[in-house]
Amino acid sequence: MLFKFWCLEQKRAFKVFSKTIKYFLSGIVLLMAGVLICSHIFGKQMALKQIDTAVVIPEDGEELKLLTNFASSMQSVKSICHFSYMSEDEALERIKEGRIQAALVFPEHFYRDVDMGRKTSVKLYLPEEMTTELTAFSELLEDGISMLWTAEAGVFSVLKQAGVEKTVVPQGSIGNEMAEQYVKQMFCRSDLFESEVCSPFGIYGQSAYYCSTGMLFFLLAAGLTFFPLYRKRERAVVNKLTLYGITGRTFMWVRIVVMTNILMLTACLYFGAGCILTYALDMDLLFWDKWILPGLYLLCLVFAAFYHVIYAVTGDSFTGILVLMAVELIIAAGSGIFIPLSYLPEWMSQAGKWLPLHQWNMYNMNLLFGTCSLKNIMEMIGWLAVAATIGTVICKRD
Amino acid sequence: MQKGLVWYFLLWKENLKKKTTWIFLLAMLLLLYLISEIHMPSADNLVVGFMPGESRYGKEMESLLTGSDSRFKFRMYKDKKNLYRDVESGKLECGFLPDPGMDEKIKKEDLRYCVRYIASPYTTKGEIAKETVFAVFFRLYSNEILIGNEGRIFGNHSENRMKVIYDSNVSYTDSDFFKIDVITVKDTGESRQGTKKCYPLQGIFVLFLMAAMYFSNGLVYEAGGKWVRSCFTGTEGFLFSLVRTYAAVTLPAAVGLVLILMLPESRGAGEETIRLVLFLLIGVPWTVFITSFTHKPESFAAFGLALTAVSVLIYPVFFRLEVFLPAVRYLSYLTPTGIFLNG
Repeated sequence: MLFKFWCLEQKRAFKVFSKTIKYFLSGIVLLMAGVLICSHIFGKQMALKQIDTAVVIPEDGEELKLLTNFASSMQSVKSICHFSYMSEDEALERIKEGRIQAALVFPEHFYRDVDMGRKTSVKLYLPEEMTTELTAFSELLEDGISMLWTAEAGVFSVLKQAGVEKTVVPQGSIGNEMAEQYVKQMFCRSDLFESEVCSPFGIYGQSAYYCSTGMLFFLLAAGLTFFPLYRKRERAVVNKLTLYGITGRTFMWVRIVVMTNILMLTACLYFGAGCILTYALDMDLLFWDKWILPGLYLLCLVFAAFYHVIYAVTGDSFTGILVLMAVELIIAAGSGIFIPLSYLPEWMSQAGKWLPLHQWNMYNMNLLFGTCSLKNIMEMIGWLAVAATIGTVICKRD
Repeated sequence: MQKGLVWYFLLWKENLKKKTTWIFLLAMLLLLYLISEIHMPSADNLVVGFMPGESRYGKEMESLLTGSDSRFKFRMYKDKKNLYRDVESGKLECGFLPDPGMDEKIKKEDLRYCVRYIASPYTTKGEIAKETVFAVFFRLYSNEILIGNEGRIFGNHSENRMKVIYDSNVSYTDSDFFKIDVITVKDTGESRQGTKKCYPLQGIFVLFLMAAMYFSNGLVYEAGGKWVRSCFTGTEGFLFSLVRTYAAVTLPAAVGLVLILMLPESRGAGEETIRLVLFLLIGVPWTVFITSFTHKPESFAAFGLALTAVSVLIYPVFFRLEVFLPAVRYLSYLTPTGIFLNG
């Protein structure tokens, strides 16, 4: 009898799911398209745009042109600006039209003046409206000049002393030798830094993080289709089922298993689509592993148990959707499903680590992209036990 | 009119007794508070973290960076954990951490990995910040280069000579032999500054209200709810639906408005109140009208959720889709939510 009851409930759940899922899917697909568009827009807005910079070099500035060509090939310079060579009038015209964003004008005999320690200056034309890119460019220019002047100051201070004392190195070579020492350090400046990236997405990276949260999002949305299972049955039906030995606790587990099977179907479709995309687009994302399916079944079981608790607590099935949506939104936002926990205030970030969705997301990421430890599995079984206990208490109360 | 008022008060009292009303209200307030506290990385962030540590070089770099005219704002840290946390959370563009053994490494002329550079995946100006930090380090390291070459150039080492060379070096470094003259030019091109604002708080608030208005019309699909359709006819049925929706949305609207007015993102008491009143006056009849097109509970629920999902896209809640599709702005004005949000 139990098996027959389970088959009937499963059929009922599939029917309800198939009726409602097309509407949810269209909303979800629209939302995913929106997320892709917005991440493209955000990506453009958050990236530093390269600015077009005019460089005006005097006719006798061959060494200067070599220097600016060398500077433009450096990573820090390439990341912020692109050099073009033109006359001063043309550069001013283009800035006024907005076709270029900055112009660097070197005076005549600039290289000779710097070499001989004579006062000199460079004109930097900028538009009135300072953007972040122009601020960064100005900073880069100041840094370059600071390094150049540190080297020049060092060379001149030694030359000045060499002028009043006997030296071992020939006087004519002191300047070049000292300059060489400084330039060597400037060329090797990237060796000073040891880089470390701290990602708000943990060890897996942004793509893996949002791939996992995408699956959770699908499971969250699929759960909203189960509300018809919780419409109050007529008294006569309930009494008859009780006669056949189908009590409140049996109802609970049958419903949980029924919902789990449907959630598992959703999860498998998502995983399958992810694997196909990984293969078709030659990405490094989702790959098949024999332990993923049982792992996903445990995840879906936990989800189903919690849906049962929420729908059973709210009692009335229609307002249950509203409450479920609101609770899902809060827990999802606080668990770092939409935005990583690092972007939340400190206390929320600490609290969010204890929320169920965060732990389920960690479990899912370990399952799909890493190694699922026994600790992860025990945590999921723990959540299942909590939901089952609450569900049992509600059954007894009803 | 009197009938409507009686219905309103009775339905309002009934809503207050439902536990789902209070759970929904609490969820809305929590989510609004959560969104107001979120901090995201920004391309305009110029704050850089620096933890000087115990090394002499670290401390000297700290005083030079603090007193410099750099466009980066250097924030000093005493705790490594806080530095890492702020880089990860986007509060800092990047961070620098001189190695504790930096002084000994420099004495041995080994400059490799003397400073740890900490960045996040969203760091965009890290390479430039590195140049700024190196420029400051280079000023200090210049003394090592001078002392390292003194013996080779002059044949011997002399403290007095080094003092003279150091003083000359400082004098040349602080002089204005070389400078940049910045000249601003008036340009006639388009503004390069950012796009129009989004309203995440007001957007979430009004989406919650829209959901409350929509789902309050689901009574007819619930067990024992069929009497709504059979007891009223024509305009009376429409009036009852309006009154029921107003009763359902009164509490969340009032509480949400008070919270929005208390937050710094508020557009002003007058503007927020007028927009909310307009939204409720137009939105409730609009919602009652669109719910009349669904006849099954599954399609009612699914349509409501799809409507919410689409609303997040077309209204300027988290981003402006009109940057990509300008027609979206005009479409959004056809709905009460668009009127509430679009500035």
